[in-house]
Amino acid sequence: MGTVQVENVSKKFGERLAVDSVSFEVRDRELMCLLGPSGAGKSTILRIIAGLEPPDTGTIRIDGKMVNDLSPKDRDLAMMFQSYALYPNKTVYDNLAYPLKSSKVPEPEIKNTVSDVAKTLGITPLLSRLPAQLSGGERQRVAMGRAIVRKPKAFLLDEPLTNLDAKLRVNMRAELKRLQRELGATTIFATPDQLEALTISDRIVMINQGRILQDGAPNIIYDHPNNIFSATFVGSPAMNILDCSIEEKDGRLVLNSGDFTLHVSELAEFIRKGTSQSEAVLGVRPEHVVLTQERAGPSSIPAEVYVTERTRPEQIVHLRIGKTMMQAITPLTFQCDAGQRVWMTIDPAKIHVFDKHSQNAIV
Amino acid sequence: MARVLIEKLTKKFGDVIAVDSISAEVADGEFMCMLGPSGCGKTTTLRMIAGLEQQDEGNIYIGNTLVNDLPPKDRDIAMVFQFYAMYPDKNAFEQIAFPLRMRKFPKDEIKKRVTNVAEMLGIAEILKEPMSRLTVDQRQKIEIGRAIVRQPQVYLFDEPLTNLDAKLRVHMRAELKRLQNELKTTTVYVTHDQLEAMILASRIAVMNKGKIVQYDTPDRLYDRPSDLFVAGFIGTPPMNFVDCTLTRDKDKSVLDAGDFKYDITAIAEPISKSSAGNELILGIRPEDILIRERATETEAIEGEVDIVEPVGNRIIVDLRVGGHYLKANSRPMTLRPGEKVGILLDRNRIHIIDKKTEAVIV
Repeated sequence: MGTVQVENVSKKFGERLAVDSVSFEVRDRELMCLLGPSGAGKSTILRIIAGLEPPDTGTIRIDGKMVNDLSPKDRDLAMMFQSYALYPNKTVYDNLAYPLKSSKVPEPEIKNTVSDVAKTLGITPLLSRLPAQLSGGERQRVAMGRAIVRKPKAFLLDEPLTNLDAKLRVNMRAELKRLQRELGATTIFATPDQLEALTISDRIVMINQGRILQDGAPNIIYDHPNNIFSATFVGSPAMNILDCSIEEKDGRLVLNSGDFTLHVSELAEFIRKGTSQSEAVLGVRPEHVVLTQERAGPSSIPAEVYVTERTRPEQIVHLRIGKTMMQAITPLTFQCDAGQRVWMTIDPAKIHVFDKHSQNAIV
Repeated sequence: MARVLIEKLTKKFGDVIAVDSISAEVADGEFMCMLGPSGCGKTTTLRMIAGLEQQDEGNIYIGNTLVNDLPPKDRDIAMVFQFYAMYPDKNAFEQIAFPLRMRKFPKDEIKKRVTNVAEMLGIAEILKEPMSRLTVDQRQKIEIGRAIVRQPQVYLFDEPLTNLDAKLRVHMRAELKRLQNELKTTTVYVTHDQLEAMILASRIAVMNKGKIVQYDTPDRLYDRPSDLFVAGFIGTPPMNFVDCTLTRDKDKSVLDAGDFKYDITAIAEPISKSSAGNELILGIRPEDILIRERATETEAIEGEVDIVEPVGNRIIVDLRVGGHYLKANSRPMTLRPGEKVGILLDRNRIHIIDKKTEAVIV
């Protein structure tokens, strides 16, 4: 397959800057995910790479070669959209053969290519069927097959799983990952669904308002978000975010949310170095809020259970600490009811601290 | 407040039986969810309870009153739909007050009730704002406020959270649950989202093809589903199903899945007592599959890691055993695609399903 490089690409629609100096590189055989809310600029970037939209500035390279002036069909890319538009009246074989027939490939070669691709995708027994006789997963395979018979350099997928129901989506995303790996297909995948991005990508490019906020492996984005947007966009239930003041108490550094304080002496150096402000934003993932029935130590904070949600295999506990609301994920064996008092402990080693103005991560 | 009782409700649209002789009781103060895929008959049932649709057969009681022939406005219910039917030029206070003004409540009473509801929902400060200035979250709360301000006998909800984005849905779900804890009003809530039903409901009626398949508490549905449909519909990632043949060898009962065998001697009795043949389905939830380094325990099934999906504080692992794929949901551990592992199925948590009738035997 191939590599794709996007360098300083910008695009305006009227006054609106849809894509703002975006640069990234997709390595050979990599599955890269463009993740962001709707309107972030993901689809526009895909369309610019595909050649369906010209960039105002910037360069697109495929396998190192600049393709800005090439038409879509000459870029050797395969683009797939939300719905797999297979020809309903053609058999699977004819669907796969169609792109080759229209580029006038000789018949014996078509036969060979289709049979190879069908074998790779494990759809040989389906070749004489019509799309209506296929399952969702089989249709996805056929659509991928139709895209790969042309041996593209890369796949561009625009929210390919969005229209599937939740249950099917769980299976289809693993299926898609399996397929991508079997084919060794360089893939750019746009989605607003953080779970999809976390589960199947080799790398995530986090995007908002046309700009790249973070570019890294899924575990890096999850464990070390570099700004509040990434921190809260990825993960469900979302990271707890609290405005705090940075204070000294008995010679030790604390974060004071107004409703509780957290000793952060261990992080003092980073916080002092990271900001000169007296205000900061504290971030804690729900799985890092540890609940106990009794006070677990001097740093335990009393909280009231607001609502519990048995989401199986765990539960989400919504907590009220004064006016502050927080969420914790705990095992189902932790017994608690609305209105009950529990104790929460937050390990300072697991917290995130963000600059209040720039929204960027300090710790 | 009052119970809702439906008896043998049936509704046909042309030749299609949308609701097929269903019966259920929603106890006073209970939060009941009707859950099922689209087309299962849940919304039609709700609309019959509301009086927006006339049943072909059967009875509906609210409290002890037979309401079959009562128009919607006389049934003392409040219905919340997916979309907000708001009056854009009115402020938040008037939106909530609207149902009371319609019924000519005295001014003082209106003010008292609207203020109460607004405080309960945490929107007291925005009552004077016009709708155009409010967030989606605030509008949704106003919609709920308008439903509860009348203090009806029964609330009927038709997928109220469906059109919200994921984050807001999580937030509103918790707000609805807390409200129910406080108000304890009889509620019938329609959704196709199993997680929403599991979280909100005291009992769930799982519907499929116009019938109630199982009507039970969320925990019972999750732990003791009655058939293949419920077992597969509740829980995400869904339960794994493996087609098996039961073989008996001397005093042992073994499920043969082709690529692996699984000894079920300890739980074989209910199977031989049932009318099931030898064609069975083994069901196991992803979190009840334990992954071990290779061949530590004798009963471990040998398999291979195929795909690892990190989902924050858990991982979902696709395991391959010959031609079978099993999804496991585990605490984070380091696993590489292609790695050989031992797979343990939690013996107390497996389900055995009759392939022919699709009934759960164990």
